[in-house]
Formats: sequence, C-alpha cells, structure tokens
Amino acid sequence: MPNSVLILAAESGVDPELQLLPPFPELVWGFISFAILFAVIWGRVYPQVNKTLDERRSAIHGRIEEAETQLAEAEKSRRDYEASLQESRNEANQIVEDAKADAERLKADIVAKAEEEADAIRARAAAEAEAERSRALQELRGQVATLSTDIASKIVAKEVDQSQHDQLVDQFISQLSTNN
Amino acid sequence: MNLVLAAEPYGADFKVPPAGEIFNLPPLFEIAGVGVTRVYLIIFFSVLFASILMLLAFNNPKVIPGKLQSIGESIVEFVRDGIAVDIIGPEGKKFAPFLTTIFLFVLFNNMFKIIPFVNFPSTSRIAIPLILALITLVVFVGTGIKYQGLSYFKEVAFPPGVPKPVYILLTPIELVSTFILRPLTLTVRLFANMVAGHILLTIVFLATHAFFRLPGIIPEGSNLAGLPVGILTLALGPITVAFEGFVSFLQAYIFAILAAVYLAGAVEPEH
Repeated sequence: MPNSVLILAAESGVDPELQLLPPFPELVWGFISFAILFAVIWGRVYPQVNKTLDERRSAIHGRIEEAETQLAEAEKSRRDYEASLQESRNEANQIVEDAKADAERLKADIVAKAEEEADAIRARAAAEAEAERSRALQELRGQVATLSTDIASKIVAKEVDQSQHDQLVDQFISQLSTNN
Repeated sequence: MNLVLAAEPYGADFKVPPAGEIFNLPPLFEIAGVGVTRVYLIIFFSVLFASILMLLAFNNPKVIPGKLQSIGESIVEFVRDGIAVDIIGPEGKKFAPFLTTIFLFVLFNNMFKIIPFVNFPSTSRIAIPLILALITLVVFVGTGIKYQGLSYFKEVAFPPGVPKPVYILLTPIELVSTFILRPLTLTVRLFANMVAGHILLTIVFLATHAFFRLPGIIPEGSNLAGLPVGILTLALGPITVAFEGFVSFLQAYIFAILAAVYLAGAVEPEH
C-alpha cells in the first residue's frame, strides 16, 4: 500500500521535493546492471539466437529443396506415364492402321483377281468364238469348194450359153466375196 | 490540487503527497556504505528476470520452438528485424544485442510500476533514464567514429548541401542537438512519462482508499458524500493500470527506436 510507504518516507526524513539531480550510486548501479544484462544478451543469448535461426533457415531450405526434388520427380514420372500412354495409343492406332491397310490390300487383291478371272473368261470366250468362226469358215470353204465343183459340173452339164455362163461366174464370185 | 480542497469537506482523509515523498525512497539497508533503496532492488530484479527469461528461452534452442522459445524469439525478432534492421539496414544486426538490452531493460524497469506490491518504476528516478541515455550517446558517437572516422563530427557539424553562411547558425544548433539534446530528450521523455504515470496511479489508488466506503466497513461517523468519487476511481484503477502497462511498453519501444535512429545516422552520414 502506498500509505505505508508514505509514512516510512516521512519518518526517514526524505526530501519532499522531486529530485532532478541523479544520485551518483544510482548512476553507477544503473550502469552496472545494464552492463550485466548486455553481457547476458550479447554473450549468451544472441549466439544461440543466430544459431537457432540459421538452423531453422537451413532446415526450411532443406525441406523446400526436398519438396522441389519430389515435385520434379513426380513431374517426371507423370511425363513418363503420359509418354508411355501416348506410345500405347500410337501403337493401337498403328495396329488399326495396319489392319485397315491389310484389309485394303486384300480387297484390292480380291478385286484384281476377280478382274483377272473375268478377263480370262472374256478372253476364253473370245478365243472360242474366234475358233468357232474359223471352223465355220473352214467348213464354208469346203462347202464352197464342193459347191463350185457342183456348179461347175452343172454348168458343164447344162452347157449353158455364154451369157448364162458369165452370169453364173459373176454370181459365184459375188457370192464368194460376200461369204469371205 | 482543487481535488484535494474539494475532498476535505467530505470527511475523507485524502491528500496528494508531495512528489518527493513518492519518489525519494528511504534506504532499506546498507551495503558498503550505500543505502539500498527499493530502486536498486527493482533494477536488480529487472535484470534478473530479463536475463532468466532470455536465457531460458534460448537454453537448448530447438528448430521447432516451444512456448518460451517462441516468446524469446518474438522479442528478438521484434527488436532485431522490427527496429534494428528496419531502421539501420543490414548493418543493424550488429547493434541488435545492444538495442535488445535497452528495450528489455527499460521495459522491465517500467513494468514494475504496475506490478502489485512493488508499484514503482525505477525509471522514474532520473538516474536510470540518464545513464541509459549516456550509454546510448557513447555508443552512437563511438559507432560514428568507427564507421566514418573523425569525419563523423564534420558530418554532424557541417551537413552538406547548405550555403556557406548558413553554417554560422546551423553548426552550433547541430552540435548542441546531436550531443546534448539527444541524450537530454531521451532522459526526460522516459523520466517524465514514468513520473506522471506513477503519480496518476498513486492518486487513483489513494482516492479509492479514501473515498470508497463499503457498507459494513464504514468507520463510525464518516461522510458518505465522497462515495461516487470512490466508485469512479475504483473503476478507473484497472483501466489506469492497463494504460500504464501500455505506456511502459511504448516508452521502451520509443527509446530503442530512437537509439536505432541515432545509430543509423552514425553508420551512414545523414542526408
């Protein structure tokens, strides 16, 4: 309580005025106490402070670096995965493309073969027709020969006059030319 | 002192004591011819508590700090980064221990004015702010000489970029303000703040003691007219204590900041 202090102060006869001149012992002891506190803080506390803060900084730095490496690794594996995925996609596409190409090729082959066959059939048919015709011609020639001999014998038999004879020959020739 | 005159007719034994009775303390005992007053004890315990706090905080420090270490670190960072590096620049780290000592020393000594049963700031004895100001003066002048050599004094006395005739007026002003007024203002600012705060607390407590009479403990024949005053001062007590705690912190902060400003001028010439 302030009151008890006041009584004490009054009894011991202290100066009732506010002191504005410093008592020398207080200056000395103030300085000494300040020096002690400074020694503690400068000599014991701050080295620890700096050590701690440096350690923390390096720890945080280490953590950050670790995190960065991990991040980079994760990124790399992601890229690898994506690349392999892309590769598989490409492969699948390739397979499909190959299959398509094969199918195309097969189709083309089949069509070509069919066309070839058709050509062959057509050629055979033409050849057969040709052969038929030549045979017919052959036959015709033979017939013409017999006919000519017939005609000749008839002419001879009939003894046709000159005019008739000419006519016959003409006729015959024209017949021949149309036949041939 | 109208308050005193008004109080007496209401029967309260209230008087504001002369300042000397509050601040000039009797010696408690003697050591080596020096009468040890409460001031010495308060300074001693301030240093003791501040040392213990900081030593415990940084005794076996961990990378992930505990509670006490966090407190210590926040104090250190407050002074080192918030005051020293902020004002002086990168060089400020060298002065961080000094500024931390000033801050803690002033803070703890101030805070004793709101510690129950002590209620006395040792910084309200003019010797303490004065010795702190003198230490600051020596440190910043020494720093100036160390960083700038003797041209530090030239920088102070003849700031560049001024027309020559002006120096007749400017040089005395600069010298007086730097080497005399700086320590003086440091001293008086802290001292006057603490004196005023202590007087304020004393008045509030004494008035409460004098005027606040509870039913049942009213002495016979006492006058109740002063009760409203007592209630008012009782309510004001905690507020005043909180306010004085804030002022204690603020004055410690200002002292450290000004010391840092003076050091900054010593490290690099002011322009």
